[in-house]
Order: sequence, then structure tokens, then C-alpha cells
Amino acid sequence: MTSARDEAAEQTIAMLLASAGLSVREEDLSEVARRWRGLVSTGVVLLTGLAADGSGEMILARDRGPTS
Amino acid sequence: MTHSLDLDTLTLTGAVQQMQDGQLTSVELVQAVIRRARETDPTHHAYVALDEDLVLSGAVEADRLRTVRQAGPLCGIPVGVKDVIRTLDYPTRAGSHVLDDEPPTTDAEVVARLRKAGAIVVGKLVTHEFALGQDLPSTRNAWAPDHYPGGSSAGAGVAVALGSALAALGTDSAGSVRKPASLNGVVGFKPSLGRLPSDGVIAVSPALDQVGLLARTVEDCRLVYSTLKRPTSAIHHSRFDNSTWRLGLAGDYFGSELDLRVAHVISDAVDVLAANARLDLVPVPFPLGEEAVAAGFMLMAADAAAVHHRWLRERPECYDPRTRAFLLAGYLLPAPLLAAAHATSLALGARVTALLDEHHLDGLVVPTLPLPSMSLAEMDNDRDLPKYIRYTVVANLTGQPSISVPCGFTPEGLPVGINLMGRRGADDNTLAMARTAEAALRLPFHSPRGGRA
Repeated sequence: MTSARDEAAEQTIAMLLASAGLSVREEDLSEVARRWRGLVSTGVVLLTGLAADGSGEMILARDRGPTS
Repeated sequence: MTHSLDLDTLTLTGAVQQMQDGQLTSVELVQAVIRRARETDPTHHAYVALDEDLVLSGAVEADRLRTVRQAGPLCGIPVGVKDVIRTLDYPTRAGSHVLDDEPPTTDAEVVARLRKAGAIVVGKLVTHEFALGQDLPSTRNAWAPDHYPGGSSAGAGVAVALGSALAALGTDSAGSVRKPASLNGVVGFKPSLGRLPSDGVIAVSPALDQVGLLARTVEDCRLVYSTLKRPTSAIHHSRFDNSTWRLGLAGDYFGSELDLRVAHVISDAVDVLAANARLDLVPVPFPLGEEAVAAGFMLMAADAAAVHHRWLRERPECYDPRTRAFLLAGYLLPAPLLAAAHATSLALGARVTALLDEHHLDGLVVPTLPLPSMSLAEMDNDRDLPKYIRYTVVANLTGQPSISVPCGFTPEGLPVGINLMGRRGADDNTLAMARTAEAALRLPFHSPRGGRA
């Protein structure tokens, strides 16, 4: 059962995609939302890897280099 | 024909030699390949299109050219082409209904070069829809028909393993050549980013994509690659095949995420390689965090959304719903994630170069995949696909050449590949070190139809 919050998120997705000229079927909205959440939860590790000092340097390169 | 034609052991290089020696004609070879396709495709579904008359007429012409001494290096050799690579004689559907109405108009540049070298395009090979890996195609693993064949160049791996092609062109954005190669017991080579032309190839992500090759031996791959590659100013000097290669055994690739069955095969293979006088293996640190897979997914999703913009607007109903949802989700990715993905990709490339320089390495040795082919009944694409690209996507992000070489079988008889990653731009050297490794492993190609070697 879709919660009001999920429904609002799906309507936002439909609105954003419509602004790019893309229509989404009603029945596809929950799947697009699920994929989007999956991508963001996968990708957020990249942001947490950014250096805390705001330099933009990645922990990947800074702290895990071959000499560390 | 004076030699027996055994498609279970015949290599592309062997076929070229037999034809040059007058012991085999292209017509004989192509007839055997067509028979093999008829026998195997009803169960394994490697091909989406194969026009027997067209292929045979190509073979007749190849034999004629040989008699007038105008044969190219691949004259009369049957090669399959993944169905995201455009061909003039077959429509290109990319595993989708989106392109159902599009007539064939051109050969991709790699196909044109293949034909110029004399190769015959056998047909178009099955792919996940637009090589995006969201649907599961009908292709079945060459060694276990109830198992995953790998993808997205699924048909390419299976056709080469079964003998319904002697080599195949695929594409690789996160492992799509090396994965089906490893899972079907053949060699899969992804050259350095940009090393082969991409004109006429339907893109996933221009930042990650590379046309790649699948064949039965490293030498077969080298021969096809040599007919396709762009001329470049040599940054890396090609070394002689009798060189000694210094290779790093890359840390986390051998960690706890490696399936135990694969780990045993890889461990035995590493022991064999380490005992070879021409291979110097050195353990090196190589942390393998979540970043590479995450960056790969961000770039693929966002880039593919851009590539598909027009089709998504004009014919969204023609996509598989899973592919359509993935592409639409890609539209909505937060920009900071994409920026971080690009930064990660650059940082990873710099770190690999620093690692190779610091340890004076020609390349890295790693398992191609952390797990063997899964039963299709157990497979969940959302859950399992990221596991399969975890090791391979690194070379797409760094742009390095990367080649999977068969190195053994699990106790259940499923093939396992070992992967050599060279320095970016050093493709010839990567092929040479892979040939050294292949020779050391002493596993001559044998198709599943002939049983295990």
C-alpha cells in the first residue's frame, strides 16, 4: 500500500521528468522511485568519501594510496 | 579439406593457418559453424539474427579472394557481432523493441575494419537490452544451460565457447566482455579506453564504454585486435613476447568477498603463474571499497539517460519496463553524486598509476569475477548484478586494458577466469603478458561439447 509520503515522492518524480519532456506511466512511478532510491543509496558512499576539509580530495585517493 | 575440422578445439589462429596451407576452405569452416549454430542455438540462444545464405556467400567470396592472393589477415573467418554494434547487412535491435523500425544503414567502424580484414559477420549476438543489464536475456551458459551466461555480451561469450563463431565483437562498460568470457571459458579483452573506434556503436556511457573482443585464445584476440586498433603515437613501447613481466597481486581482490570455489581455482592458477620464470608476481596493497561500483553505476545511469533521451521521449512504451525505470531514475540523479563519481574515477586512475609506478609493475593480476555463474533460478538481477561487476568495473573507470583468461573450473564444472590489467595505452604489452600467463596455465581451449579438457 502506497503511503502519502511515497505518493508525494512519486508525484515529484513525475513532475521533474515532465520538465524534461518525459512522461511516466502511473504504474511505472513506484518502480522509478525504487530505482532512484537504490541508485542514491549506492552513490552516497561517494559523498561520504569526500574529504571533510572541503578540498574535494577523495578519501579513496588521500588515505588509501599505495604508500599508506 | 585434409585436416579434420573439430570446432570443439579449433582456434581462429589455427583456422587461418589451415586456410593459408590449403587444408581448409572458408566454405567448409562456415558450413560447420552454421551446423553448430543450428544444433546449439535452440537451447542456448546466442544469436538474434543469422542469415545462412548471406554467410555462405561471404565464404565463397573469401575463398575466391584467397585464390587470387587478395586475402586479408582474417579472410574467411566467421565472427559474431553483438547487437549494439551496427551492421549494414543485419538490422541492429540492441535487444529492444525501440529500434524495431530502424533499417540497417551503416557498418560500425569496427565492423568495417573487420570486413576489410576479410572476416565474415556470422550474425548478430544477443545482448541485455541496450547493454544496460536490467533485463535477463534468453541466452544460456555454454557450460551449464540452467546458469547465467554473463552479460551484457551474453551471446558473444556463448557463441565463441560453443563454436557458432570463432570470435566475437562485444562492448564493455563495466565488465560486459570479460564477464561472459570468464563465465563461458573463453578469453575476453577490453582494450584501453578509446583504443578502438566507437562510431556506429550504441553507447551506454562514453566515459566507460569500449568495444572488446571475445575469442578462444589470447593469440586469437591479438590477431583480431591488430586489425581493429587505431594507429597511435606509441607512449608505451611494445616489448618482445619473451619479456619478463612484473605483475602485482592486488590486495583486496583476494579478500573475503571472493567465493571459496573461485578462490581455490585462482589460488592454484596464481601458484602456477608464480612458478613461471617469465612472470614476477608481487603482492601489492589495493583497497577495493564500494566506491568503484558506486561510481560506475552513477556514470552509467546518468550517461545512459542522456544517450536515450530522444527514444525515451518518442517511444517509451518500446522499452522493457525495468530498463525504462533505470533510465528514468538516471535522469533524476543528484548532481553532487555525479560530480563525486567523476572525481572517484579520476582518483582511482591516479592511484592505480601510482601503484604501478611505485612497485615497477607492468600490470595487476586479479580474479575476473568474485563468483562463478549462478543458477538462473536463484539469480536476482538487482541483488546479484553489482556483485558481478565489482572487480571488472575498475578498469572501465581507469581506462586500463583488461583481459580475462580461462584458468580452471569449479568442482561443479563452471569456468573461472583470471584477469590481467595492464597500463593504460599499453594494450600490446597487456596481450603479450596474457599470452605468457595463458601458456603457463597450460589449459588449451576445449568447448563444453567436447567435455572438460
